[in-house]
Amino acid sequence: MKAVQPIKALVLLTLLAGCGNMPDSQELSGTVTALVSTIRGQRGAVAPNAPASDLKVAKWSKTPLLFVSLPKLRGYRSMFRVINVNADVVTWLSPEGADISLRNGVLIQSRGLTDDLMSSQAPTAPEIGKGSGTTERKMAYLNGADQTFVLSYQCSLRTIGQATEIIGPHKVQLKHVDEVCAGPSGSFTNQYWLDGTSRIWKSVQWVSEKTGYATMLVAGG
Amino acid sequence: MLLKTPRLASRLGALLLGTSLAGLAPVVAKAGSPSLNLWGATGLIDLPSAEMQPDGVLNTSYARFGGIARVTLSYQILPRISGSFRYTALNGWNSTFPTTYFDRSFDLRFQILKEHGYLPSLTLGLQDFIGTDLLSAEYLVATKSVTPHLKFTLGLGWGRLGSHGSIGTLFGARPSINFGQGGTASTKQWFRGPAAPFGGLEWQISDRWRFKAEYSSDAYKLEIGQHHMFTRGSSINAGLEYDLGKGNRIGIYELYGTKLGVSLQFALDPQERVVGTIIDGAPIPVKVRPTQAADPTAWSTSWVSQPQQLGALKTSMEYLLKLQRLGLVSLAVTADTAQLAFTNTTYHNSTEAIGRAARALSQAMPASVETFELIPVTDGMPLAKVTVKRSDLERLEFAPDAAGQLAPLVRVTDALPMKTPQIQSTAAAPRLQWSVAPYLRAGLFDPVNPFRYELGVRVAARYRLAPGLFIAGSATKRAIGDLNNNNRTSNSVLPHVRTDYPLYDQHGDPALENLYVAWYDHPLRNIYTRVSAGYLERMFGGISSEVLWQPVGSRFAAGAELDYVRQRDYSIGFAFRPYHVVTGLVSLYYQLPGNFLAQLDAGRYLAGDKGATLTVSREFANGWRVGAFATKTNVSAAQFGEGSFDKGLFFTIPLNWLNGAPSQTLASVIIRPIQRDGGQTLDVPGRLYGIVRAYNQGTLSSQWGRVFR
Repeated sequence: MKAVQPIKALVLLTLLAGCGNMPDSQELSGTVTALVSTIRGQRGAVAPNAPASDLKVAKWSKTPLLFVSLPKLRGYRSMFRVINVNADVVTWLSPEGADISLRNGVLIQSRGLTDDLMSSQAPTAPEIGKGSGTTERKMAYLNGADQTFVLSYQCSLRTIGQATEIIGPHKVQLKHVDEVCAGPSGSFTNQYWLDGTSRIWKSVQWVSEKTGYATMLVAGG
Repeated sequence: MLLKTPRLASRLGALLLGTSLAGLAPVVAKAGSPSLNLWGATGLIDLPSAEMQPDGVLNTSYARFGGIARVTLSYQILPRISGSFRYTALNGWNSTFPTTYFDRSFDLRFQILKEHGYLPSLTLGLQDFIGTDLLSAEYLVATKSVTPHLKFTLGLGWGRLGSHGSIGTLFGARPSINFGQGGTASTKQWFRGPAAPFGGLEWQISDRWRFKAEYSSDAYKLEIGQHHMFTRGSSINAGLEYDLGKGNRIGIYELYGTKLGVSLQFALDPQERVVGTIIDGAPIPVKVRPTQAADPTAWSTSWVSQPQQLGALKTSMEYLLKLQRLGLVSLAVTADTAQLAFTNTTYHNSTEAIGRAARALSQAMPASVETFELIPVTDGMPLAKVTVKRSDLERLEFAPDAAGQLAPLVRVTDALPMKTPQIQSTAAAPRLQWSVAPYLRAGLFDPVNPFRYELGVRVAARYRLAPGLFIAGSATKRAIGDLNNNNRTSNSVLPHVRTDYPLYDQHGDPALENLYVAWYDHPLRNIYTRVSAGYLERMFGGISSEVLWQPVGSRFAAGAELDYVRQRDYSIGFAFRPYHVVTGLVSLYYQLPGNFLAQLDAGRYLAGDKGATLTVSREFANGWRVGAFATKTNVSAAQFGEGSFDKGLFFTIPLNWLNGAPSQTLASVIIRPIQRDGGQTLDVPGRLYGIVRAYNQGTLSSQWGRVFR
């Protein structure tokens, strides 16, 4: 008789959670879980247990890797790999299924990073590489009713300094440039570390209000 | 209005649980929205102000003082129009038998002037404007901010709000009301009788704390004079409110010199998802073809005649669509065009499904294929043909405002005629779909017990016999609840088509909610058809047939439905009762600009009564919908009973708005102040318009932002 109790409990749990192959069979329990996580402040990152990546991997990797961390999403860190190339835009995919698209290293779009950057008009890497002057940015997002809204920013570039850095197997001379952007909706500062060919090796770039900054480092390959 | 009989809310499902939990999450309406009064309307403490809530926001509030409890739902219908539905409990109304009196009321408020420069906001309000005059008041009120932290409100009230400190009668005496069966607008009373001034101030002490004080012109004549619920020692009320963030607040007040009051205020903003955004994996990106010069073999068209190439295309499309949680139905390919029919049971946003299917095609199709024709299929019906150039996808994927630039380049037409596919797949969805899940049903507004519920398990299944033809059923078993403890008997003089619901709740467990065969088709351009037969809903079974005319590019649609149904036995099993009826409705649908939807139905209803229903709703692209309906048929108010005619409000909240997971499920609640038998329609599952319009041009345009999601 004692064995009946755990079976009963299991049946009850299954019923409460819902099961089946209909599209909506587990939605009630999914909703409760999501709301509880929201209240406890656990939700928002791409995956709750993103694997901690190690820069050392880059030394062994034959393919390029993009190390991404999102401090605002509870310190999310992951290693992205190239999934697609469309002209000068490279799309990098995380193991959890989020992606980031960079035009010569400049953030253009994100998908699956909570509050995504849907599309943008941004300065090019050579423009940033100059390390001075002003640029204009337009960044498009979706609101909660799935309507597009565009935020505009006026940005100014300035060179912070030069330094030699070791990134993976490479020893490179990098120029540190920051881009101070301000607009009616707020302001942010992007930072870039570029080599003499305006290739961006490291950067800290603004994604969105809820996602905050993405810190990115290219390695491997 | 005083309504003593109960009414059964339709299935609250997961919604009640969802919204009550959502209330706990401090992530909802916009910060800094004006606070509510104890009546659930925007205002001071017991008085209204001239302010409005942010457009589209739904507020729920609970307030209590001196034996009075009020639960109010308020909706900002338009930026300058708001409405409320309120349920009031008056404890100790009768002193010899200590009983609680329940009352329902509706308000409407119009903002004539919005605060600007030196001008204040000015609002005209009608409180409890349908009904008995018990809670009725009319007012004109002005509110002006003098500093960012301090605002003043001054108003003139009639009815209740003219009952203390009157300055005289401006528009003649207020006639006593003969409300008959209730439910009709008490226009003859409006702005009549004594008028009295009222006013107050609101001081924002800090980001979180707010102080309010007011002079009330409400004498609480009946509550105090006749029912001795409390004593009115003063006209001055004061209180403190604490902001929990995003439109959620708690308040505590000192009222009329003798009483302590509390309020809880929760806001839901359709434009602000509870959990932020829909969290979902990235889409498959667009695969860019090599130029013909760089790779001439990739552009060869010899594959068209090779059967093994088609087999490979089928395998890769099945795989790619599955990755996107879409399903392959069929594929017709020529050297330059691919026509893909697919199912979407994942995304509420139709354009997201179309965008993902298009990108999947770009990965698999040989380079010579330049035109993509995407045909979403629901219940076997191809619902639209979205034609997009592959080179536009390649060029615009990373362009600024990619979705906006793509929109004018895409053509949406009727899915017919379809090309004969070389590839057909059964992988779209399993033939048998089933689920076992908890359910919640609630019964509201019964004076003996205003909230009854039932919690149990629902088993549902659906088996596809052929494309567009399926058999479906669902059954419930109660676990706990008191919904069956309702012994109210119907006093309706019409056939009891709905008012016997307590008998169904008492005897219908387990309940076979439905078991039916349905056949859907899109036989001609613009024409869609449905036939359903079997046990169609809890109270009726029979045969229901429907035809819908909906050109894909039109805001207009028209439909007709003809049903022959028999009333089911109270046991909700296989047996029937003697009552049977032929019902039929002709329907016109119009998608108004600004995301409003109007529907006019006319015909014969379940009790054999003839008339028409008008439904108007406001809808957001994410699936949020709030609306109202009213039905007038050829039964007199006396025959109809309390309420005079059928009317109600409904709320639809997409589950993805609550839980942030991609899904198409919508939770709906219909609130009728009273359930009677006149003007009732068959609750047949899967009416055509709801299915077909998901892919019409109006819907696709309003949802377009997610096409590259």
